[in-house]
Amino acid sequence: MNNIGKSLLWYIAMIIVSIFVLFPLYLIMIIALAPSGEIFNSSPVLIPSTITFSRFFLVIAVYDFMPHLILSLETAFLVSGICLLFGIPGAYAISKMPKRLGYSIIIFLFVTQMVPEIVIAVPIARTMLILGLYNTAFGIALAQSSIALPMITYVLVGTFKSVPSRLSESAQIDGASKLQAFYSIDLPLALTGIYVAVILAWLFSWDEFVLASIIAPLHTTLPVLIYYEITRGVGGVQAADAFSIILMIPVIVLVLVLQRYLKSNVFAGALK
Amino acid sequence: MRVTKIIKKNLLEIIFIFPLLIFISWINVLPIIRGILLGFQVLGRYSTYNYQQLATPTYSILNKTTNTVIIVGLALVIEFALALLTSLLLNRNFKGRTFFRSIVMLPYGVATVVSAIGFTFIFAPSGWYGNEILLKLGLIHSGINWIRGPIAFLSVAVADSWKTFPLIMLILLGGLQTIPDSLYEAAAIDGASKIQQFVHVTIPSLFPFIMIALIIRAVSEFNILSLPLILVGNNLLFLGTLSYDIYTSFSLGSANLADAVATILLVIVMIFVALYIYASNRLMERGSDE
Repeated sequence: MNNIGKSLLWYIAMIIVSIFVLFPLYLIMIIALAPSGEIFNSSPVLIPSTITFSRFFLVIAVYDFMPHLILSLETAFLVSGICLLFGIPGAYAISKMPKRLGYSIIIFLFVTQMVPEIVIAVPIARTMLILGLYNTAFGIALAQSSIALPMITYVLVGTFKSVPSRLSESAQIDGASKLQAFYSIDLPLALTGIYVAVILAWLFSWDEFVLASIIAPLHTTLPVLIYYEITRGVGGVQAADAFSIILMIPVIVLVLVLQRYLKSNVFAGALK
Repeated sequence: MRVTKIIKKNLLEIIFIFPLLIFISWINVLPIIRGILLGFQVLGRYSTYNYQQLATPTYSILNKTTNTVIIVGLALVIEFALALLTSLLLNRNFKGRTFFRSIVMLPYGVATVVSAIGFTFIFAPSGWYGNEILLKLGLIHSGINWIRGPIAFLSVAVADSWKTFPLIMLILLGGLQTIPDSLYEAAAIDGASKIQQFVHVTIPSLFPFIMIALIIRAVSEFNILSLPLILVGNNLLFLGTLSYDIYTSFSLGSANLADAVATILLVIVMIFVALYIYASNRLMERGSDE
């Protein structure tokens, strides 16, 4: 096959994949913006005749939006923080271990994560009640970290492995302690991977539903609030949809802006 | 003597790994044990009453278990096929590759509840986009009810794959980029066709990445909850959704009953993990023999 034919095939394949990816996003957009008469009939429109932003204002007005947004943000940043606190040292240690032992620990971490969230959600909720962390951002964040940590650790192990070990070795020959070599050489060189870990932990928390809904049923995060809106909301499906867009836009911007950090090699490093 | 020497040499690593292991044990392993115990309790006393309840037709646990296994299998096949195809495409050096990669990554940033709402519009029982488009293309003659009967599995699996395949794609793409060109060149010199190269070079080199991607996804797949809750509601219950349903019903003893359901889910996941570890060890040994 010639080159033009090959690239044509490639573009056609890529466009089909893109349509599959973009179509649901497009629907979410127009359903929030279109007049309800054009959506709720036997043949719904793909291009609405007029658009309205009223549902966004409705959602923000009715749902006491700001406190929940702040809670979601707080939780997401706390999860990132907790994951780095435990993940960075842990991953550094794993990256220095013999390959087989390190791999076993990674698998162990993933196995603990195999446990259905609903299994741990109920007992954790009781623990949080005792600690006075029920219905708080910190309580949700602690629980969510347990699920996010294996993935974060996995990414960080790959990152630390990609830092050449001779750098910290030569620093140690020059008289630096292991700890000094870690924070003055390995840590700065691993920053890109640490950014990725922060994004992943943040995204996970922003999305998480089960733990948030059981640990903080009253003062809760945005995904749970959307679920409440769908099941017993006042504005119907279209309002819930408008709400989803509010939840979605900051994250899509985040993913696109930080795209250059989400290189595929961060997911491969731990296995090299 | 030898042990203390090893500890002294690796003191920093040991100090570094312990907080992680202790934290995971406290927030994850301990609650698991407590959850299992609670599932065997009724009003503070140990009994198997909860499990007897689950066997009754009200909960028909066997049916929910089968549903869970089917959805895990189906979703994994769809998302893995999508991810493999996309990663192979994106591994080619064509103009616009970065642009398409950004597009493919978008669903990863969309919260599950949001994607569930998006797919509600496609898989609504009658009149909405899924049916509308298939009718216009002439592929079907009357509307399909996407959220009832066996077809509901497909609706859930497709909606789930949409959101999850970018992560697998990233892992596989990372794996593809570790394969040196020289391997393909050597295979080509030996007269291997493109398909033979794929089977004998790409797949074996990609193997560890496939294994890690599958384990990451299978784990979350068994826990599938918020997506079917929104998309198909009570039309198709899995162990996760059943557990959530019972827990949020707030009736007397419902938390313990929910724990019992969750424990059954846990046992199934453990069986899967055991099989997985056994299979991956076997395959790895075979790989190192070659």
